[in-house]
Amino acid sequence: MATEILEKTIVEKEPLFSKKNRKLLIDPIDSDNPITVQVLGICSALAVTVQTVPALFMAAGVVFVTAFSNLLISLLRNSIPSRIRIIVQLVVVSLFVQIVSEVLKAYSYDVYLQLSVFIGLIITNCIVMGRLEAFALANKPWPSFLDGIGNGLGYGAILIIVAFIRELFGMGTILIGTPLEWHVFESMGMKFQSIGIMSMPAGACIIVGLLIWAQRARNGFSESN
Amino acid sequence: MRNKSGYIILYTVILCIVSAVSLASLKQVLGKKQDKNVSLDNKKKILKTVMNIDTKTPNQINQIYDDLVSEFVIDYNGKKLEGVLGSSIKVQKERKEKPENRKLPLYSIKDQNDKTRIAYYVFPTSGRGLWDAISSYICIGADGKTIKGIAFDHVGETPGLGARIKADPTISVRYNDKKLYDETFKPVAVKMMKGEGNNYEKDPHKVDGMSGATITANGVNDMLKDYAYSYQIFFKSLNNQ
Repeated sequence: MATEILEKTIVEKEPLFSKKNRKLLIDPIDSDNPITVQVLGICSALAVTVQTVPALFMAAGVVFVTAFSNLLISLLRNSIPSRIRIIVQLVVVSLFVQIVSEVLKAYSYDVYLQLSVFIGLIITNCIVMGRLEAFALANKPWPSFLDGIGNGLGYGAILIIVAFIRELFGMGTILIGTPLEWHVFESMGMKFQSIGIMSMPAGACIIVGLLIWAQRARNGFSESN
Repeated sequence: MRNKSGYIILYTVILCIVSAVSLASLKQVLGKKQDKNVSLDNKKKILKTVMNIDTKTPNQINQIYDDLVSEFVIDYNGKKLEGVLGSSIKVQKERKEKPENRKLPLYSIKDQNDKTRIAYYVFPTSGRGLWDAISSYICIGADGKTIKGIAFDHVGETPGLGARIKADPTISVRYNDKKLYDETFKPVAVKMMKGEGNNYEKDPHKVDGMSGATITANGVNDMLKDYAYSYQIFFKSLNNQ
């Protein structure tokens, strides 16, 4: 408790959205993106991107988990015994993942069924553990919280882009399963021929690859060695 | 201090207790809502085999269900087991038993226009596809033989191939008006054939296949045969009445 109060007084000296803090939030969305730059969390990016709506829920779930586990680990960082820190991180991550899973089961059962095992697998998403190890253990709660949101959003952005493309070419729809559902090709009077690979994880792999290419070309990034 | 064994043990214990208590209380708060979702989903699956409920609200679905559907559990000999609800049986678990020992859930659906008459019987099945479990709800007409509707589900079949049993509405339609039993109530079941695009309209025990999903189709075939056998005595007895 004592450390918590101490942190708060220190944090308040710096503006909440100082330039440094804004960078924490925005960098992971583009130039330090967890999927396309750090190549973390690929597994679920391939698995839950068949349709846009589940991808949206997955993204929200990951934002929640990364943000709050970062926050909690950062609050606890001065008390965690370093020898069991990975286990502590796992417990904290699974706690929040379980919360996401239970809330979805209660309030959005269809999505819960659709995401099924992948909600549980957020625990093994390297982004979450990666941020805890690399950031939250060494930084104050508020920057850690922002870092978590930023990385979650960076992950979510790629997820949604990939899901949008896969749904469009795999099923010929936009936002299927919502009131905004739109059968693009039928409404333009064309016969829709599904591209089979888009509904399989291999299709996602190709799209993620293309996204990495496009992003690196735009940002002028190249491997240093 | 932080790396002393005593501190580590205490820390772990407190962490576990705090997490466990918070999750348990969350479950307490949300449990009722979750159970409602699960039971509504079950009802939807049953009603879907006989009518189109896509536009119905959850309240309407509950009302139709209460109005038309009765739940039973029977055993292999067709006897009703008293005091158990169909929806309380875990079908996937029961499948591991021999067909003769299974508890078999059964749902009877009344005729919408004449509520004294039972128009359909629905029962759940469980089987194995290519990657994981598959399941279905099968709706049988009052004659005890004819499939009036079927709704497949699966856990992890390949999208675009085996997953079509659920995703592609043209698959389940192929089973309509096929016969699960022959004239003497032998459990012939319905076989999904290899290859797609053939016409089996005249054969009451065969349906067109799914190209690229032979193993899922085999799983479906085995499942139907398995449960046709399990429910055989019950449906036969219907005909003798």
